[in-house]
Amino acid sequence: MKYFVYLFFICACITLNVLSEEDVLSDKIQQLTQWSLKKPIIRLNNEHFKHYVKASSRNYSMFIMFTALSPQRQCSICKQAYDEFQIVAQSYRYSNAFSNSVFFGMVDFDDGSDAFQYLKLNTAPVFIYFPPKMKPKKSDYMDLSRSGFSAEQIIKWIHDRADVEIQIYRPPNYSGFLLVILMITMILGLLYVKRDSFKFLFNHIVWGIFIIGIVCYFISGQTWNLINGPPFMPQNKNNMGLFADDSNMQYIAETYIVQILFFLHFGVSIGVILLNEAPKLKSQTGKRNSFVAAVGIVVVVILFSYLLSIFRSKYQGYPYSFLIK
Amino acid sequence: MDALTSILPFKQYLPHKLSYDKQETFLKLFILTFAGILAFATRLFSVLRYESVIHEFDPYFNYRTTKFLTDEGFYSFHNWFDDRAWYPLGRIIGGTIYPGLMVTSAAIYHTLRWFHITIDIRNVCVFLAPLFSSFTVIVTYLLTKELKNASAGLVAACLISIVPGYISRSVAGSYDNEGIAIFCMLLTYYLWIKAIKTGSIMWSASCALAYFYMVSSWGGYVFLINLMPLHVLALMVTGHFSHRVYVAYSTVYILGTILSMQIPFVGFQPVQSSEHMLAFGTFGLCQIYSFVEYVKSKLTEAQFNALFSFALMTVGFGLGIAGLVLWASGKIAPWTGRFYALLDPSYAKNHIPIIASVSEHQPTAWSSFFFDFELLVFMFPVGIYYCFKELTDANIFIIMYGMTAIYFAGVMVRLMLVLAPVMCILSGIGISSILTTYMRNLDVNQLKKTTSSTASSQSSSRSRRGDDSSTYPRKNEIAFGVVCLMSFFLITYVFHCTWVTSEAYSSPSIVLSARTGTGSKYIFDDFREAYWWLRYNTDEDAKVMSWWDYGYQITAMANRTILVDNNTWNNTHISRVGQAMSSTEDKAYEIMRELDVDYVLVIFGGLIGYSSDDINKFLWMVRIGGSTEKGAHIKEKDYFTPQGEFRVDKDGSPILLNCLMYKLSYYRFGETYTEQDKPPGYDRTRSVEIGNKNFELEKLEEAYTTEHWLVRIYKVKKEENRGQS
Repeated sequence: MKYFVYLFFICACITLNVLSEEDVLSDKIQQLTQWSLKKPIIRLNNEHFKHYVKASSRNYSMFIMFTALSPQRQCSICKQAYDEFQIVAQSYRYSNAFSNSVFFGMVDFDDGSDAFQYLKLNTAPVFIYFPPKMKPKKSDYMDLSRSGFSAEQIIKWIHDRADVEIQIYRPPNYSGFLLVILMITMILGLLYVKRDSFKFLFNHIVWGIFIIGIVCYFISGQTWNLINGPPFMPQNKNNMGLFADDSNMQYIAETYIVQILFFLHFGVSIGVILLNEAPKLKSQTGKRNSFVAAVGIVVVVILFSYLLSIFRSKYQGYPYSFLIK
Repeated sequence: MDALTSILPFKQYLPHKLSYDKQETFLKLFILTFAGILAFATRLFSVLRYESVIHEFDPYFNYRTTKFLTDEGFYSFHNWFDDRAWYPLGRIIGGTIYPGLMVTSAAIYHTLRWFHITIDIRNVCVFLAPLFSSFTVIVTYLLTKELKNASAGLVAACLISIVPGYISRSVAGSYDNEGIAIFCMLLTYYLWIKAIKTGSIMWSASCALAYFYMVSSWGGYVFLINLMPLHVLALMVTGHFSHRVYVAYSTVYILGTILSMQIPFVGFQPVQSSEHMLAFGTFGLCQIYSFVEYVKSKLTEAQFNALFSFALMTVGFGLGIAGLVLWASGKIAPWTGRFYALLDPSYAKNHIPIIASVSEHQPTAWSSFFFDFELLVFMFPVGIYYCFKELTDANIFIIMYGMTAIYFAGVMVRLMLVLAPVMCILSGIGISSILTTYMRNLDVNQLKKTTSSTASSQSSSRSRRGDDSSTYPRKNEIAFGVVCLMSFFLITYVFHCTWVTSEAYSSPSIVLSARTGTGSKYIFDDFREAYWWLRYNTDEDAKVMSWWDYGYQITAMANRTILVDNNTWNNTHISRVGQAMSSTEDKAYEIMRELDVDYVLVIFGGLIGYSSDDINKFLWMVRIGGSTEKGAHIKEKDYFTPQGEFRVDKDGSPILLNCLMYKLSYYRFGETYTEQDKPPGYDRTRSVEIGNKNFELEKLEEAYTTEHWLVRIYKVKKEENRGQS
């Protein structure tokens, strides 16, 4: 009799347990669905990760991106990968394939360092597929070094792993279009304001200054910025200067300064030259002009030595400097 | 010019009896000659430091082909099928290279022979680039003289003789296409300006010939064939188009296109590929424009307007349809990726990783501009300003050249080379304009007096200057300040250029050097040691397997057959070699038997701390090896530790520690002491003790290791006669 009681008790416990587990599971799914309806990528912190991903009792699968988005981590690639991942998640959210068995999540290193530790990750970004009821295997890690992280590649990977077909829908980029519209309106506006005299369009010097502006733009390495996308300013606390120490690196702020310096240098030297060509002046203005010219020469020298000193800090071992160390 | 001659310190040494014109000519010749000699001399750092040796990798291929050309003659060169490279595929050399460089050297060689000056062909090759730099100096002078005047030309010639942006590609021993191509390019430009200015068919035909020389020597000719039509278009837009331009462009385009198609490597591209379509379109536009002008002169205005609008619509429609049909049928070749990369800076990064991975194709940071041009970076805009002040046909050309070149140089570091001449020309114009303006203000006689006489006369001279007809007071002092400043800038330019040339651009990379503790120079000549060993100790038909970087050098110096080389045209073949290097010894042996390899050559820098050795390049071998079907089992991930690091010490991935490349690099390295207080087998490049020390090779045996272990050569054992039992 006693045994029966025990047996009954155990049976009851097991059923209850199963019941409660199912309860918990459906709760979880409900919660996750709610979240992902709100936002396509669920942001997980330490507790969430433990509760929804790490726990082995899962009947849903998750695609999780491990990343470090906060600016002090200096991970520019993370931002790009995040954008691509968001496009995928967004497309999934509004596609027919959307169900409550696959979710997209994200763990930021600053919220979920435990998750990073648990998976022994020390790089970011990493994409990992968590299949239902199992821990991720080696093959569930997306091979970023080979495939890259474009949305197309991510979708291919998702299709391989979870057999979910997603059509990418990229939101069209209006910013470039708007910029062009803005430019055109500005130019048209300028023409409208100046409609009485189009002479300035035929002025060589105006074109010359315009082209020299472009030249300064290119010489200051803006195309490098365009392609490599460096941070605007050094984020390292120790480095107080605006300039990168390495000759293979530059910051956006730095290039702006250099561009202005180049243009200033040109402006001042042309100014000094123009002074010389000024028509005959009275002695009073003449005196002022000669003073301005002398100042101009000094400014050119200072600009030159300043640039030389910046250059010297970038190329270790460069032997020459002038005035400014 | 007059002001220049009058204050030069050596004026008293000039022959006084010469007339003024003769003095000027003498001075010009003097400056040009010295600039030419300087251009040659400043490129000799590496020859003086090491010896007359060819640099890097590609020059070795050019050297080998040149040697073949001089030995065998032009026809066998033209039909040359090279069986020493890409074993067992081989490579057709004659039709896949630009022969201008080799033909030039061979011509110089034979001319000197004819005069009984017996010079080795290797020395012709080593000194060809400096020689052509001297020629470039002269052409720069001529070109700038056409654009502005002789004094600007002299300044530009002096600037280009030492500009680092050009020296980087033309030091003695860097025997590459670019060495002569810049000369050809500037010569073409000079003749083009001449043709535009005179409108004579003679100059235009010479321009076409120079263009042909350019096409035969460098793939960068595409820049020229787009720049000249751009110039013509700009002339049309600004209303400078004339009969002279019409004659010049039509002649140059027709002759130049026909001539360029004679180069086998170029073939029918000038009429098919999109890169040449701008030139073709402009040619058509020139004809239409001239025809319209002609019709206009014969008709009344009303008649002309009606005809014009009708013709415009029909022709536009017809052209659109024709273009669509041609494009759809694939007659117009799509633009190559490299060209797209030039137009859209971020194209390469997003679409073609191979182009993006080459360091020469990286965009240029501002410090590189300053590094390669220093002062010119400032003077370039000033030159543009002066060109805009007096806009002529020729000036429009140099502005177009400057604008396009600076854009291309910003997108690709390599194209700094194209920017260098225009930087020098425009800076020369700027500097000489500033100097001539202020030299005129410089009252030389008074200056001399003030320096030689006492204070009292100084005050009197100043009072005299007060009623001088100057535009402002202290004109002389300011002029003096500006001239001093300019001279000072030019002096810093000379120091900068010499430093950059000596430090950055004069190492041959085939011979390495290091400073010893006492400050003297220590030379590592291991590469040549190994190649000569191969040459004298192996069978003539032996096949050597190495990574592709060393292919050209092995064929040129060791004269042995290799599997892959720097002309990376066959990816699967390279991938096969990568697979062999990243497999275990047994697997690799199968691949090596399949490819009939006799020797394996690896570069190992662990003993002396040379960082660009094969272990550091190894991940590329894995990547390329795993990129084809046969190598699908090779996964990059397996060569990393679980934490994703590439390590060769105990924690390294076991697959890495047992692959062929690892074993060949570190064979018997575990018994060697490299540094004090460190265990044996301490790798100085990667600063770790290696993880797998005591292993034996089964299928290969060590054949030769150079003095500093930089190059290690292994012999692949033959299969045993009786088979494995």
